[in-house]
Amino acid sequence: MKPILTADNLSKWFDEVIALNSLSVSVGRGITGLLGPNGSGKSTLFKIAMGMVKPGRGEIRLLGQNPWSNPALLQHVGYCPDHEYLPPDATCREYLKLVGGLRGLSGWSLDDRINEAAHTLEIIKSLDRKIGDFSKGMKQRIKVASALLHDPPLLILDEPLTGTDPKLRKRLIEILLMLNKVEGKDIIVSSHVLPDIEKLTDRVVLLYKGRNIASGKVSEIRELLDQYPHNIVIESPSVRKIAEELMEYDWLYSLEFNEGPERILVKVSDPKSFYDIFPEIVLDNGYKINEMYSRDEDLDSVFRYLMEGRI
Amino acid sequence: MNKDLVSMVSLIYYSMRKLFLRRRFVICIGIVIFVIIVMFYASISIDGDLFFGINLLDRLILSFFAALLSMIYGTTILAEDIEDKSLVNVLTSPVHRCVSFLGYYIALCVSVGIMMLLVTAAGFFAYFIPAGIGYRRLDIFISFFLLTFMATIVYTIFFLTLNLIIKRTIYFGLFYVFVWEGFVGFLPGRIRELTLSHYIRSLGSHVLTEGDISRYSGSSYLASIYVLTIFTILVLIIGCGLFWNKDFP
Repeated sequence: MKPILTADNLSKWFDEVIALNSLSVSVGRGITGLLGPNGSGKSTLFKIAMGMVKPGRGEIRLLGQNPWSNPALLQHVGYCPDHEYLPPDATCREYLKLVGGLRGLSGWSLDDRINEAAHTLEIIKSLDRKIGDFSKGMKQRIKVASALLHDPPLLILDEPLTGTDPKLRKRLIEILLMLNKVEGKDIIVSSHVLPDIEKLTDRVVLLYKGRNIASGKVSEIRELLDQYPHNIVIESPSVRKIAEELMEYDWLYSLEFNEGPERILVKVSDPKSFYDIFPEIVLDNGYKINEMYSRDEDLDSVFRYLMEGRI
Repeated sequence: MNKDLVSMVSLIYYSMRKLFLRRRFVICIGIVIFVIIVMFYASISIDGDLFFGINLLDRLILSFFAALLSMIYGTTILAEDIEDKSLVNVLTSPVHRCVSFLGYYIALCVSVGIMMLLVTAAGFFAYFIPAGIGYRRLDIFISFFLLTFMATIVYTIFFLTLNLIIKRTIYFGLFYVFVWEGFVGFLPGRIRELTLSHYIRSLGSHVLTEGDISRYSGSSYLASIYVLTIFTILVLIIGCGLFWNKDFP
């Protein structure tokens, strides 16, 4: 089977900073997770794949073609960047109309595609609301919906789950799985949270400091990562109650309340169990979660560990 | 409709919406109010003298505000999209980057053109209404606005392309508008031929029959048209090439 993305000795510098360092990778069809801490080169790889950034050295192929100066290739790819760029003064529909228009859609076909994408991402009731009023999770949905507008067979999603609460995270994962299984879309998704990737796919590529340090099955990678405690920051009006619930589990390493008001730092020795159980705790008790994210530093140390002997 | 055309129309609509709805549009409104006050005061001071009125329009609007507004909007339209990361939507669209650059340029020309129409109309009517407007004066207004729009077309492509070459375009832009066009462009001798305002005023000397501009001894009508057209096309091609080859990390 032909790979959908290949990079061969790909390097990219931004002034003095090296973003990709002789990266070689091959991504096959289906869902593939790109895992790495911030600054590992995930976004740069995606930007090169989308033709936004020129490769410094080496070669990259997306769907068998060189993506640089190749706008026709973008007809087959939907992209969701990691950064926030949605116009707060526009409604969701206006924004999707703009993106659809830029992708060459107009008239009834554009309206149909907007409704279809909004239906898939479950934002149909919010289409006429201003984006500025939306939560981070809703904005992530809009970004994914905009990537779907021209119905591309390949989706490149850069950290689509970051900043979402556990409930929405679970739902977004289900939607991405559906897009792969039902609509047959290939998906390359990046994250710095292994359990998120694990729920999506069993194939991952680990990037660290611009290099591919490991690729293969999630289970193999997880064994390495789980040897280290994970730090997870939760922001919620109910942090104390959440802390009480979490204290019942033996995988809880420590709880720290010095992260700021309504914030808690949870250290867990078994992140998989945490990510499995935590959504149930939230849903059963109706807790509101404003934000939840995994601290990079821990993952960074694991990646450093994995890198030993490879440089 | 062709997909590239649909994409370009969407970009033009989006960029124009951004230019008119952002707070920066206050600058245009401020200029309109300023021009109304200055022109009205001048009109009642000297009984709406035609010659003086055209001189005022020339100095205030054609030689100054056309370049200034083009600079303010030309240096920011692309820079803002890069800064707020919305450019990613344009770059990841299946459209040739040159088409997108052309879309930005058209949006800029039309937007600044509309603003200049507001400024010119405000100045013209504030000056000439107290003295009465006849057909001849309306004719002058149309000629004067077309000249201003021509200036806008030339200045905007210059500043839009400049965005892709230097980072702090606004500082260079201020220097260019005030020192190069505003000062060097009015010096005696051949050095003024190196400024765009020289060719715009030369063109004006053939289009307008009143005011100092009508007596401006510059280049011929055809030479001015050639220089301004070739400059615009050349800078547009350079801009397309730069936009096509630029990294947007």
